[in-house]
Amino acid sequence: MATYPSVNWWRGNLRHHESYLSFVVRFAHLNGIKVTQAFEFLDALTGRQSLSNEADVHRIAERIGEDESTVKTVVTAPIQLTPCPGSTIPQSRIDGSLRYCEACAAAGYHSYLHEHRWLRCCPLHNSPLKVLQVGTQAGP
Amino acid sequence: MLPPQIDPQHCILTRQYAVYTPPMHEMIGQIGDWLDQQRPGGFIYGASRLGKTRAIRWYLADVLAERAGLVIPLVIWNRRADQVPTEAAFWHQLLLASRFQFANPVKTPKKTEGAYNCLQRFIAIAKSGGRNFVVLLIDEAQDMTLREWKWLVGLQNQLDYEGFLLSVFSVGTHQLGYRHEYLASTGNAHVAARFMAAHSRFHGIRTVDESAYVLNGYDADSEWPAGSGTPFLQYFAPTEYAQGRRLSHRAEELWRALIELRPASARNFNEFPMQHIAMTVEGMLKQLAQGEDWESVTGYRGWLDGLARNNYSDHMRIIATEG
Repeated sequence: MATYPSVNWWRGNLRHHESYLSFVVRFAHLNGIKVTQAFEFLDALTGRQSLSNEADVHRIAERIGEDESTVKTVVTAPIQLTPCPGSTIPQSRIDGSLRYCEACAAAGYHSYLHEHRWLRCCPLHNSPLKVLQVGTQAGP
Repeated sequence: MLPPQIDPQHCILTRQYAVYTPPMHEMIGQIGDWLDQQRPGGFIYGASRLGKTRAIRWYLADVLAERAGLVIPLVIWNRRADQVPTEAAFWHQLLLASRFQFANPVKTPKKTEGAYNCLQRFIAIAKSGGRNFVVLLIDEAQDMTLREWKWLVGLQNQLDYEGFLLSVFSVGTHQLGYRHEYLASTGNAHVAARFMAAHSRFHGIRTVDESAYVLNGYDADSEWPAGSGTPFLQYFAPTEYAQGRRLSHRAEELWRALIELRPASARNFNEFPMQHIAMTVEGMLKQLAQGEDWESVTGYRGWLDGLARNNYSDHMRIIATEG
């Protein structure tokens, strides 16, 4: 029998290249649960692996009724820029901080791209990214 | 004692099955019509043991989906007679009925938390179907209290404010009809008007043809194990099945037995309970599996014995008094 997901989520709710953190926070809000509980639920679907694979993407997409290609852009964070040896491009992430675009955040969107330290401005709004110190659990 | 080739997990033996009947088809068609008309509510009433709950549990969602060509955002709530009538428990039960992952079955959320989560849940269900409507089907609704109806009015209003339509269809015994009159005559006509203005009766088996249709369910329109293509009759009586014998050929005998055993007090009651027909057929299938003779098992006498064994006459006497 075809039916609806057992969690509060629907196809099209997830945005391309949204950060995993943003996804988890929104998931927690929609389901009336704590963020830690949302992390536990979604991490369990991925087997708590550091790198998500196709099977993980499929499991999450199926469970939340979301489009698989969109989920992939969120849980695998496919757009990366690895610095070459000797490059001056800084490492991607600083623990304990959250980089974000104010205009994106106002629209309820946060991308893992905002977390790249080599990115100074939001690619959508061309506005300088802000940095927020949020503790060690900010990253995915 | 059944022969070893009969799997004790067969759904006939575990009684975890249903046979599609014409009254089920009528009921689901009626609900489908109400959905098409975007009715805020409606109720189906009928005597006990006619097959209402089986229709809801086994067929409603699939037949509605087939009819509409899309998954219907449908929450089915079996309203327990011993339900604690508090608001917190009410929202908790609705969350559980919607199979919400994060509803703890042993812990009732606070009233406001439950109400908010329920609103979010119904919105999410509607959105997951790509629609702006959601359907709540309440089974055993005859025990619903006035307060529960009013909480549903509140939920419907809130959903409407958020741009979603909630249809509440209730199914129950004849008492549900009296509920409608009670609500209307006690200053709660607005509740009755929303949820009970549309109504329809769930019938029992009414004709020989309907009896034949039901028996054909065991002959052909069934299978176990799933995907095997083996109808129930073929599984329990393969030799007779191969010889072309079918239960549906015995519909006349069944009908005569139903009439014959009907008590005097139910002479005007011309609808017969599916449950007693089903229990009689189940007994026959077991007898056939044990090698008993086809003619004696499925003949007129066999139907009389089977129905009597399952207290059919007593049941008819009781439901005749229900109206």
